[in-house]
Amino acid sequence: MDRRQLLKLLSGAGAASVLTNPLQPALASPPGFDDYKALVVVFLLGGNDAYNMIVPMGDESASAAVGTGYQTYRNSRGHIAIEPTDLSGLSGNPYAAENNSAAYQKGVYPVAGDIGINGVMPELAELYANNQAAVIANLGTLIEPVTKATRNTAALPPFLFAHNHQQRAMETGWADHLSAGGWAGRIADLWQAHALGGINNNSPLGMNVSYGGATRMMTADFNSPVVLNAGSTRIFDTSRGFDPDTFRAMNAANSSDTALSRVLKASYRKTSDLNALMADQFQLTLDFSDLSDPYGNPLFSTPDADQLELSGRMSGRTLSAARDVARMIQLGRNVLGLKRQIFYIGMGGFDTHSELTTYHPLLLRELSLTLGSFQQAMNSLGIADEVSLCTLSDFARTLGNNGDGTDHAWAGHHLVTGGAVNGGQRYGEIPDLTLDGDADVGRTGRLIPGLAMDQYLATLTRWFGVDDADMASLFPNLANFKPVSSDPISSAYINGLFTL
Amino acid sequence: MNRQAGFFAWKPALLLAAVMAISGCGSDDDSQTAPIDADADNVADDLDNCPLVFNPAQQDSNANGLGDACENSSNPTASPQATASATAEPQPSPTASPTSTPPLDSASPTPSAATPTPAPSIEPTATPPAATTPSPTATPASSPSPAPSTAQPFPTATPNASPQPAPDAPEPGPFPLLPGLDDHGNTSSSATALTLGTPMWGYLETIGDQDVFSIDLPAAGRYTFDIKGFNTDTLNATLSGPGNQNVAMTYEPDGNAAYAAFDIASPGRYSVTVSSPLPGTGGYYVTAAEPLETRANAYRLLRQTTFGPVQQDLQQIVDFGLHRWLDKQLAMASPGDDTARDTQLERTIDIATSVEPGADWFPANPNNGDAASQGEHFNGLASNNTDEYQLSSWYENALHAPDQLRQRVAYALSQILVVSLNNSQLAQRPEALAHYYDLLLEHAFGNYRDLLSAMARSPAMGFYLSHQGNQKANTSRNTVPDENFARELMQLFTIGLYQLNPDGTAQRDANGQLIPSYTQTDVEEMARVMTGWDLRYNSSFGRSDGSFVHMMEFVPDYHDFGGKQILGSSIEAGMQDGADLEAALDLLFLHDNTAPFVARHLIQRLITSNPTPDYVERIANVFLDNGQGVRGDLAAVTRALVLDNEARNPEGPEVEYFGKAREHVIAYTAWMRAFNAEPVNGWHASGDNAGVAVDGIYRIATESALGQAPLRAPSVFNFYSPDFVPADAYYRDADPQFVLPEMQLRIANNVAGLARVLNPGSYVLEKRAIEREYGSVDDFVAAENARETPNWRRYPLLALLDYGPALDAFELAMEGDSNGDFASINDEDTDADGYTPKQRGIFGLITFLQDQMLGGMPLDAEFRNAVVPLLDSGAYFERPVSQAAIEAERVCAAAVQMVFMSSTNMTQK
Repeated sequence: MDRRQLLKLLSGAGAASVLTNPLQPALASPPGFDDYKALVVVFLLGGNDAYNMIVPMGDESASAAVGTGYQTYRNSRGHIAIEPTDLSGLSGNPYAAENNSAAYQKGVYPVAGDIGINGVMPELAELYANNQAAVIANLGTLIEPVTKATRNTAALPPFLFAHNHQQRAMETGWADHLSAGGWAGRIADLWQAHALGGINNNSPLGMNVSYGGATRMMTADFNSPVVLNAGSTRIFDTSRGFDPDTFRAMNAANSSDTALSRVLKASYRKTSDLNALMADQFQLTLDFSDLSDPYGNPLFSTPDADQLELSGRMSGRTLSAARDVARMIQLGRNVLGLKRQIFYIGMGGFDTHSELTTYHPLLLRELSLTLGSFQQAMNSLGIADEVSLCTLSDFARTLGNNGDGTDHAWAGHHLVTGGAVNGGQRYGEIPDLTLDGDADVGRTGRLIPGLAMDQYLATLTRWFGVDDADMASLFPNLANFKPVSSDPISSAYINGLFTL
Repeated sequence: MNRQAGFFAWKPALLLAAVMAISGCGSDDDSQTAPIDADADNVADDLDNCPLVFNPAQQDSNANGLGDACENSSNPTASPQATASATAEPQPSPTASPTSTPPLDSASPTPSAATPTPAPSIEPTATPPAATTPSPTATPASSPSPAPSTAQPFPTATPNASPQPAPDAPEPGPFPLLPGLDDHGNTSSSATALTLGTPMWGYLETIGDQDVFSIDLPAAGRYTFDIKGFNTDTLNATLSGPGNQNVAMTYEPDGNAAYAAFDIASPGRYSVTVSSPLPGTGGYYVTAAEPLETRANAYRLLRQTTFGPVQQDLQQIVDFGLHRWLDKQLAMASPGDDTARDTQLERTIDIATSVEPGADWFPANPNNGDAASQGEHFNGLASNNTDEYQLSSWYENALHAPDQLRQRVAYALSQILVVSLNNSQLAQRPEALAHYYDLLLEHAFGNYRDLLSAMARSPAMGFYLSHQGNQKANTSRNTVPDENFARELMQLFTIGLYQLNPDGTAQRDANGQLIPSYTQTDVEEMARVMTGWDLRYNSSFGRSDGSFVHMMEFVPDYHDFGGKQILGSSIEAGMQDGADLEAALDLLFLHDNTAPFVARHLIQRLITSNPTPDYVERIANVFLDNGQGVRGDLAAVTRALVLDNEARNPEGPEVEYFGKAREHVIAYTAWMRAFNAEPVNGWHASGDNAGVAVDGIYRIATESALGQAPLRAPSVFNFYSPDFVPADAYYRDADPQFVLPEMQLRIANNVAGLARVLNPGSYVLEKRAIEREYGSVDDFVAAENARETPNWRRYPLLALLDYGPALDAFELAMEGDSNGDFASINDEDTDADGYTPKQRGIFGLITFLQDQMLGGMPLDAEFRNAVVPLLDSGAYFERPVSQAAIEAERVCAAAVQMVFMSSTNMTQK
């Protein structure tokens, strides 16, 4: 099929429905970017206990507002609190201790913004000190601003504290429209990633690549992510006569296809297309094995137990996924000439109802190592300014605990790293940490967000290239967070996070 | 299993019926010629599609002429009331009057039709008596009433009577022999003629009676004989054709039914003789028929309800219909209730101890004071491979268990009530998963309420959702109960997040918003209920050194005994022994959401991703009431959702929203079943157990390739979201949106992974290729074992498959024989149609696979156009003449792979 035939096909039914889709503004042409940007989302699945990742360090007897400092933090958290000990001067493994709990609770790296970074996260502390990491404090899903006084009258996101719907709110950027497409998917629709002439010129890679399953975040009306497992350098095994082109041809669309067959065959054809790309191109990208991580291992390796000095296993999947993202960025940017890419990495295990102090340190350790290694890789490619990474999570966890773990809560802290971010700072306020206090919507420390997810995502995607004019349709509740309703939409962004 | 041994127990109730029906019971009113209605359902026997069972509605959902009441395995003829009443007052033999002469004429097609017997009923409009009251007809004989008691010899089958096993009947009095009464002749010359498709009933009235039937089968074709006894205990049936050639009959395990299906080449007279092997009597039906179901329908049912169609099941359904197969499946005991079968836990232990006999599988546990076992219980910590053994046990069941429907429903339940190996503790104690799966199997056809209770007390769920070791709030430590299980129990296992209509659609408030079905306070209150549960034999509360294969126990010291307010109801304070757990489960079980919630999930797992609201409501209604006043009956729910018109609609495959993407695990088991997978015997374990030869054990390590493995979901939200919406306008624009949950796993690596593991070579051990290369499978095993370090673990699927039938079909189509030489595979000569022998072979092969493996479902033209040239002339598929067999094996393997990867196979419609 030549290009003319293909265009003719595209001008048929598919293209017509593009124009009639209410969620998709009619678009003369997608933005003609002449630069490259990538946004990497690390989703901390299960609900990260963010208040033990970033510890409030304010001194309430001095400058910090009552209830927002370490004293209240410690009272509320009880025996799971992180010690305020400053680990930053130590040589060797700063968090070394007799067991995971002790290592986890041993201390923090005090950094600007009256916060301490958990002692098992030295790489994050270093990025922060180098202004390549920022902390967004007390962020969560919202529809409109909420206070304890208005919690019964304000519109609240439905199904707070339920994993799947709060994940979905983060994925859609639209907390009260649970069947919406994902925000990354809708950007791909908006920029017509599925079409010739659209963003990335209809590359088989599309705009969105997931190393964490077919996430809704990247699925919308016309675009769904390329989904890969971490560690995949090829797709099909062709050693025994399997021919991806035959597989593609046998799954050609057929006029008698029902919707189910149509969807299935499309996914199979997409797999074949991806296979060609991976087999021919991905394998040629740098895998960063010539760089070293803090343990002296090749970058993105999983440290062994002796190196780690924690008990239990680090899964290493997030590290591996981050390496593949770094390779995909080379492929997209340098080989295929793509303009915009969003990557999703799913990191599981954060639902720490039990054994928080045993397992959370392993997770935070891998997260920190991943952030440090990924930044190192981007620095080595000289594209640190073009790539930003951010975290999302279902929710944070209760400040109070259930004996050996914490339960589902609401607002928590998030991280943004990269060369473009104005790092070394905390954005957003630490709230009153008192159980049943002014920011607690319950009695066990389910904190009301001070910043909305919408503001966070809008700030990130604005950096990524979404126009101010498209923000209101991309994040329909964003306008509720403008300080003054007559202000422009940009007033709802997190001010200063990026130099826009 | 509970067969009465030896002496053939008389069944007075049945006998009475026989006598009544035959005699007409001495009416003195000759003018009244009401037809016999043995079951008093106001449908005369000669019109009644199930004359021995009260079934006024005459339901016959498969339209085979035999009523549902007679096809239902839980046939209630032997209800206690009937037996008791009839026994209490044995019916004296009536003196036959001329007008009520029983139809001794064996030529008459049916007894009643032959003789319009007068049967003035006492209660002409007989309503079935309540199950608890004795039948008004229990004493007809004691009254000198002129009216015979034909009205209700079986006042038994009240439609709402709960099905319960008949208690042992009182010892009957002496049997009133009725010399001369016999409904069907004893010899072929006096045989009763059968009509194809029309069931006929008969009675073995006396010891030694035999009844003979005959039928002239009109043309070549396939026919069936089906004999089902009622209260016969056991029966004998012999079937003979022209020239007195016997046709073998197959007996049901209970000996109370027999059937045969066979092909004839030319018309002929067949006769069947029914008798009892023991001196016994009873009633029965005999039916001669043509096959009841199309192959396509049978195949479709098996895709929906099994781990893969196999020929035997397929033929059973074709011959005798969906209902009978379903009845048999539903009637089969669970492995836990059938001592002849191993549970998954038993099998996991067998496998573990066989592969690693040296491991310390049963360490003494000082907290387990069981003297008999010296405190031992199985402990999976003995090996790092226990998870493999548990999974092998699961696959064994999926591949070979006869109760496929139960297995599939249990698998569906495992995707609703999710536990997973992806949990720090369960990863080390996989035996808890086997224990848990046994609970799912046991309750799959039981009651959802019982299942909830078992689930909540299981160690697997206790660890997975962390209510094991959960304790009441501790003010000194500032802790509150863990909410994990409390929340997911409501959100995922019972009522869901928002209020549902009876048809499973969401209720909306005045603003169009969903209405939450519980609040955070409900979660917190429920969390207080879920306190005080711990492993048995733990050293102290909340530890994990106890047993993962016993149900958890209640430890009062850690339980919150205060009153709780949940979902607007109170659970009173001070409930003992964990009774508030049961009270809470009751609240959820009785919640309006639960029926549609469970119904929809089960339909989605088995039948279709997008059931219509009406379908959901029909099944939810069965959940609410199985027809006998019982709520939560999963057998009834399963039957209903499988037989529902929406599942069975022959147009279904063309209905746009109908069907589902086939799950990879099920596609994979289907492939193995289709090619008769069997374990490799004699392989050697490795490591510390090097040299230990293992028989009868699979090893299946394909989780990463398939993207899933049972009981290994990434989270309690299962492998895929039940509301995953693909990027396709048809699905996204529907309101509410249509979903394709299984498509969420159809990602590039998994698609390629499935293709990889379906391809022989190092991935699949195919019998024919092994035999060619090594001489025999045993020689192959010996050769592998003789390696310096045998490495059987390099085979992700340690199982033998047999592609012989496909190779034979290929060769037959290619060159007219199946001798294995594939002699013409390289011939370039073309036939009249312009095809080479190899091309002919490929066509034949694909047709064979389509017929045998896809049940005749159509493959796209695009499929053939793409695949045939590849197999014909792809470099990998062209070997030198000396390697003809290898070439044939490659072609067959790839053809199988492609047919299985086709959109036809990977969708279920």
